[in-house]
Amino acid sequence: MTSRPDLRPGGSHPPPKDRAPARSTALRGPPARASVRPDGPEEGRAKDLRAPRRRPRARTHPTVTSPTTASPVSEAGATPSAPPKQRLSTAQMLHLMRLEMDRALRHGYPISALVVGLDGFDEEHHMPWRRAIMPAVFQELKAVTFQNDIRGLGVWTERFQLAIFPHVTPDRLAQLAEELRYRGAALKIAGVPESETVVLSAGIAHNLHPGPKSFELLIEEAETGMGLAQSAGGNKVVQAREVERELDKLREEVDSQIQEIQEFQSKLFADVDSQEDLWGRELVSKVIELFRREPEKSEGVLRVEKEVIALLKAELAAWRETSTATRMIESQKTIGQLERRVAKLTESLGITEAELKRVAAMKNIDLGISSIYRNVQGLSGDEAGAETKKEMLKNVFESNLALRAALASLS
Amino acid sequence: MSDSKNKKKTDAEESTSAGSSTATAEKTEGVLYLGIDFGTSHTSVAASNGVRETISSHVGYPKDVVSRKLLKKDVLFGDEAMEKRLSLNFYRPLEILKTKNHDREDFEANLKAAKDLLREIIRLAKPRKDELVYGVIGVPAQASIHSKDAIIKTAKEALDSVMLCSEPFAVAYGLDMLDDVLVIDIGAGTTDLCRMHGTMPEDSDQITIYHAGDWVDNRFAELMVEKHPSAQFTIQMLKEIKERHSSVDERVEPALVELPVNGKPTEFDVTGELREACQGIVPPIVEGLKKLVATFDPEFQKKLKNRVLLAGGGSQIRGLHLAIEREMHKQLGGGKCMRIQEPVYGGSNGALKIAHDMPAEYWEKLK
Repeated sequence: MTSRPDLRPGGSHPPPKDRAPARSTALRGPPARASVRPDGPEEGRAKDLRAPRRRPRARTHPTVTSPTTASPVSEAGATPSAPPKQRLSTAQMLHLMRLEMDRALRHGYPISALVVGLDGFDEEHHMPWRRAIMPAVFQELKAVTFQNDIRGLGVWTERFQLAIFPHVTPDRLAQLAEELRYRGAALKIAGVPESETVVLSAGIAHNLHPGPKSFELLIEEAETGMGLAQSAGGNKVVQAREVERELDKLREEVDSQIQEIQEFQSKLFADVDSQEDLWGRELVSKVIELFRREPEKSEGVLRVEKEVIALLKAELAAWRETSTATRMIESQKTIGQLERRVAKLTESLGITEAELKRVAAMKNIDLGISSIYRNVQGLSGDEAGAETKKEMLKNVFESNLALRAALASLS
Repeated sequence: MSDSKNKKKTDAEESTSAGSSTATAEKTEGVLYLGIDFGTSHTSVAASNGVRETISSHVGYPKDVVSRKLLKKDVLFGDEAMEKRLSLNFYRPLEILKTKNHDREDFEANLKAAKDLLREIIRLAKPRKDELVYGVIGVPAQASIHSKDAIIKTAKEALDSVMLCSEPFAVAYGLDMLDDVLVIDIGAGTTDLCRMHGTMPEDSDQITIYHAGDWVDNRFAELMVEKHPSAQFTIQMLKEIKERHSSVDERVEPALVELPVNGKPTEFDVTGELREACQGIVPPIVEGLKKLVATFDPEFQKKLKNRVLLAGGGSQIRGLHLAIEREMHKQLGGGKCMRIQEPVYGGSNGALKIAHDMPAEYWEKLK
């Protein structure tokens, strides 16, 4: 990265004035020392996940500075000489993330986003457990990133964790996410029964694709990935864009296979027929030429010539039939193989599409309620004041027509 | 067409009532009518599938990515939007659409919010994808042509055909009171007075005044500042108090509410202030009625005075119809005011009835 926003108080980037509903904290330093203090529902935390910088030992104790009061608050174990740490709001951290994204797009280097969610532990009944688990998972995320010497920016809430990693490819991030998933499963957290395993689902997004790119899209894609992972049973890492791309690839493959079969069928038989036809005609021509060279055209020679040509044609026809049949059998084998492949691909496509439909169904897509009417009704002639009403309805209709005309002329 | 579809068509034809006009629609899976009341304070829908829904006309969009993820929605509507408004870019779109002030910075944003609100109310009506959906939307008489354009364009995305009509007309049509009736539709932003005399009301038959729900809220706030200067409140808090305790009756239960004073909840009796604020809309309304009565055929003026319909959310103020009658007695020498049974769905029920009665060829032409 060419430059980094200065997170220290009085740094070069003034924090944005708008405040997100969740508060957040920005810290630097090794993960084991970093402090995250959940102190309320919907509490969000933001952290700098950059690799630890080499500092004198005395400086590794982090301190937290409130952005509102700017008064340093030392944590237990902090030395008086430790530098004050900037505590960033979530809005400020998002601002930094956006800057990183903009920079990545400007300079064309990879940036990947990770959204991690907790499977199970529904918010209604298990919010206290979530409050205990999520900071621990965030610590694990920090630990994983530090160990792999990766830098990033992260935010956590009770519902999700969001982090972006400049200069990190999605494959690399997927490995990290898998590692985080394994470490999450091994977590033992105070206040959460040991029988409850921490199961994580993660979504990954990146900017290494030709489609439209923005910070919002990056997060949205990562979130979709997490949704797909959770809807597929959880405990997974999914790249939403890769799923779509895989589907497209499958569709393309099926189409190309079908086209290949069609081309193979039409070309094969057309070529064979024309080649054999030509060869047969040439053979007959050669025989006729042989007979022409005979100067004496007796009745016997002419009869023999006719019989030879007739015999040759019959033999050729019989040979062609057997030859074509053999070729057809061979071709059918190839076609059979291709068709089996198409069937397999189609089945795979069907399963994937069914899964997508299931996910869509989980998003409460309602089929609606039927009307009591099967047909357009209209005013009944028997109704009281029918004539007056008809006139009024006509007026309503005409005023709407006039309105449409006026709108058309405006546009 | 498949056999099953043919069967459905037969069923459909059998179920059509004998008195219905001939249908020209091609679809065979049913026709859903929607009546929508697009109000400043509340938006309601009544549909021919039995669905009736109302939401407050508030729309909110999460301010940032984290808000969106916390709220788990791209857009929030109604009371939910109101509740979470601090995390949202919050709009009350109909308020702006009525102003005709297109130069406002946030006009486009409000227009978008209005579109989203309309989409939401149509979604709440649960239309089936395979049905023809025809809708009549009651819109404020003052809505600008741009606003109407936006409403039509949005509605056409979800409806097969759509018509607009004025809100008080829809109320009168729904109650089958089309002759010699005065309709008072008290909304949040405006009170519409409409004279029905057996034909479509013209401009001269309609008066709009701005003494409506919002005016009462502001007046209530003024009186609270005057009488209880230590009380801390917002307009939204007063609106909730009004919706719970509003009355113009002299003899009512005292409206005792808790409001903070320097952070400490303190009880206040706001009965008098609330009554005075609610009472404030009566004289201008009767003034408007007077104009409509005075310019009507003298032979029918008495009949008109005795058929005053009180509709809209504002009609839920206890004793308001009696207060209007008393004021009419003073200014017009008499009159009778009736409150409609369903103030919330009066407009949407009427719009639904208009949609039901509209001939098929009209729908076809406005597709």
